[in-house]
Amino acid sequence: MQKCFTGLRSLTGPGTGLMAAALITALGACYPGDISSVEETDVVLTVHSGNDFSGYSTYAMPDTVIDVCENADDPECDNALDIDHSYDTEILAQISSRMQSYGYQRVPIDQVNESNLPDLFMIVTVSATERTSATVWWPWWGWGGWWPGWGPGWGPGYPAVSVTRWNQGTLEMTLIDPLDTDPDQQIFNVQWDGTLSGVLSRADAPIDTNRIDRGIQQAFDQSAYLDTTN
Amino acid sequence: MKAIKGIIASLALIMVFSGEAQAQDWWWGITYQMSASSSLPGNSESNVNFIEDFSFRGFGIDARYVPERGAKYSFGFNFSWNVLNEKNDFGTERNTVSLPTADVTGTQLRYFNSVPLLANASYYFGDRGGIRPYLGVNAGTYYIERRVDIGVSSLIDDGWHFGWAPEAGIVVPLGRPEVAMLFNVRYNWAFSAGGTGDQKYWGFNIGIAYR
Repeated sequence: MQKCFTGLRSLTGPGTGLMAAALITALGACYPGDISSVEETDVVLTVHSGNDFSGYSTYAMPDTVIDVCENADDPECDNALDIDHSYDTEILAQISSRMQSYGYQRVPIDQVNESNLPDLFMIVTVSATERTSATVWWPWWGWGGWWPGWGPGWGPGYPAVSVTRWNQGTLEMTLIDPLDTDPDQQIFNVQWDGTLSGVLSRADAPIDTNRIDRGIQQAFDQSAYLDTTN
Repeated sequence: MKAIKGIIASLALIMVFSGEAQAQDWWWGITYQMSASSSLPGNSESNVNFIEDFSFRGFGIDARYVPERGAKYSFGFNFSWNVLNEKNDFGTERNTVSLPTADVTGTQLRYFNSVPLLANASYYFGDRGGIRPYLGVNAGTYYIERRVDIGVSSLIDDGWHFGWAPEAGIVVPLGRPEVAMLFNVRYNWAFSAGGTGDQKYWGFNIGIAYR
């Protein structure tokens, strides 16, 4: 309120000004209403490349949710909280279920090799710190290397509208096409990215799986273009 | 900031005329204003359904010059401030914002702040001293800010719009010739500007007028 109408009383004299000021006080502010719980700060953001997904039919996904700050030597991870991995199976199962419902067949990660590449990789990461960069943490080197030329230094290339900052407590799902890369830039062009910002905002408390479940469902619900069954 | 400048200009105008108002037949009114941007006739377009909830926040100051006692018409100006807001919880139909290659979902707090600064002309029915229905038309500028808060981020667009507002109301005398109750309904129509489409909302106003 003050931001909008500071000084109104002094401008209008004792008559109209007093009445107006009283009304403003009585009626409330420019921005009434408020967030009433931490759950209401949850945000689901999905971005996509704009490419047609109908040509994709298989994907592979690691069997763990990757902590981007685990073993990372980066200042942005200095204050990272430890991640509880006891819910990884549940999270990955839900993602797998939604991918299946959209017509994608999962290829076991241990069967992936140069001659048996899936159409897509689904990378699920979590961070309990605020980050502003991507390439420094990209954990590809930690669990893969199934394609010649990939290695340390490679990172995701997000679509133009993607976020550049991840809030504390973010679960992220990233789909990349292993054949859609830019070797010069050392990036994998991201085909789809879903971030659940804030779902781990109480990372020092027990994880609320309902918030994560709700976010995953919403990410896929609002990304109907992933559906290859139509 | 632009809104504050507009308000200052309007109030300065009021102050210039206020001294004259004591001597001539100026009517002054202060109104409590309620607003609705949709669910009423004329507001079916998506860009006017930015806020669906009814608003009980608003006020206005109205000045009208009656050229002679008993005249059936008046000229004047008015300034208002209308605030509409709504909260869209996660999982409801209206809480996803879609961009060309992105979609964002979260609990949304939507705000619509409008500051109309309008000139007015009105025609009154009935006789002096009695209950007087009237029809009026307003024209001028609207400063409008629309804001959506999602998580810790805000999307804001604001700007000035030309606009007009037809109005129907009634003046009810309160036993003394210089004081009356004022009721009116106003259809605010701010024309598109700066990439923001037409903004329309109904106003339901109750106030006291005196001279």
